[in-house]
Amino acid sequence: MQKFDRIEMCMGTGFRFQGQSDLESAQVDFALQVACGILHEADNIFSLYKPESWLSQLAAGKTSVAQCPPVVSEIWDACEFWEQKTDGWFSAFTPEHTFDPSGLVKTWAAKRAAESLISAGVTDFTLNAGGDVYISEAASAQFDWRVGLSKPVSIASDEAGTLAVIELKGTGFQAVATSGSAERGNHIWNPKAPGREFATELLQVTVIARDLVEADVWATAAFAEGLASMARIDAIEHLEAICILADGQIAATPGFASLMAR
Amino acid sequence: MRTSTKSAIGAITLGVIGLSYNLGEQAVIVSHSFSAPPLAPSTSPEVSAQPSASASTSPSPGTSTTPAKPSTVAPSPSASSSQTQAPVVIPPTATSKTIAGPVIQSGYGTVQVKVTKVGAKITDITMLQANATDGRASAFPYLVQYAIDANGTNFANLSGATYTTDAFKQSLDAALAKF
Repeated sequence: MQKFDRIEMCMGTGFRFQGQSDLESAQVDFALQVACGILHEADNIFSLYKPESWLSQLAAGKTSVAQCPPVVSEIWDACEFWEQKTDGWFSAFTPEHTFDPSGLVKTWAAKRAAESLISAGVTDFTLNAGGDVYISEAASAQFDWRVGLSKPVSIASDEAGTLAVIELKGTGFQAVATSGSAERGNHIWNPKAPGREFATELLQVTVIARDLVEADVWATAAFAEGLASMARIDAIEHLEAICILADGQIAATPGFASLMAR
Repeated sequence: MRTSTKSAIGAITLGVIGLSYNLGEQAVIVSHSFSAPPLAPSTSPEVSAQPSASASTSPSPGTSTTPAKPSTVAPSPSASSSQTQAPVVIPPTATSKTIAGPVIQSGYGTVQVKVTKVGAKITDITMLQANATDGRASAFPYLVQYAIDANGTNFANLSGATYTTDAFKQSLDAALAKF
């Protein structure tokens, strides 16, 4: 049994694969290489920071979805699916009416990377995709199932630290995603505001789900909607959330308390 | 507007009792006005579920057999009961031992920690190197305190965090593994 811990910088953030495997270390390395390749490929296609990416070309009107790689229309469909699911609170269409699937691409690619690891036989691991956490179903260490939730302050702050620790072993939950304004400032707009202004009712939302993309999308949608999203999330099976309001108050779905580590 | 929204949501929303968060200068204690009395079963966290779960978790492989102390950052009602089941005992004869972790490069700088343990208990963590850009180094004092409180890094991942924390945890974990 060999442990591995790989950090890959991609999409302006870090992806960390930590786990263990019975496979030869060369096989594990190769599987990790393939998984990281998936992340970089997604970045090359979808980055709006890279002028040569398909998405940048698309946003500039220099190409059409039909001319892009099939994965672009797959992501487009996924964005529409989630926009419907969240009643419009998750939206990949910017205030400037361009298509910006950044809110989905990171965890979508991370999910594909995790699936690729699993299909290569590396099944016992966690993946931290820039603060969004996925725990493989076969993660064997009790420890792997404990996830800390960051306080809603920048890590650069004196008060940076952990708000709570949750324990997901045996709960069926495998993914935790957090959206907030502390680290990156205001970056989530309210798709329902007249001018699509930035959402400011909440400081931070953490969503716990079975699927990484689902957790990520709902964290974004909940941040945009505000406190009312707690009721919306509570109505959906296998979804829990905790949020911190701008005044520091904390609210959560009723099921959240049972996930807290003790 | 907000007040009415809150009361509407309050019926199904839980005020997380025991969780508080200090915001800036004004210490905001979490309002319990969110909690809904009719939902009593879910407002009092279940204490029966795996009382020994954290007790079986070692802070780092091969460091000790003493149970990880539950996080003090998020106290839960059962914290004291699980501790009485498995108290952290520091042998009177325990000696102090200090080990340095490796230098870890993060996206924002270099991190290296030095850990002192008395018996199984972490008593001090010193930053040998804490070069982080953009003022991120100021996060370290808190991380140090947190790790001491938790007697290790008692969670595998942090959601909503950055690489500075990861680098700290890496160096600390590596140092703990050498004990």
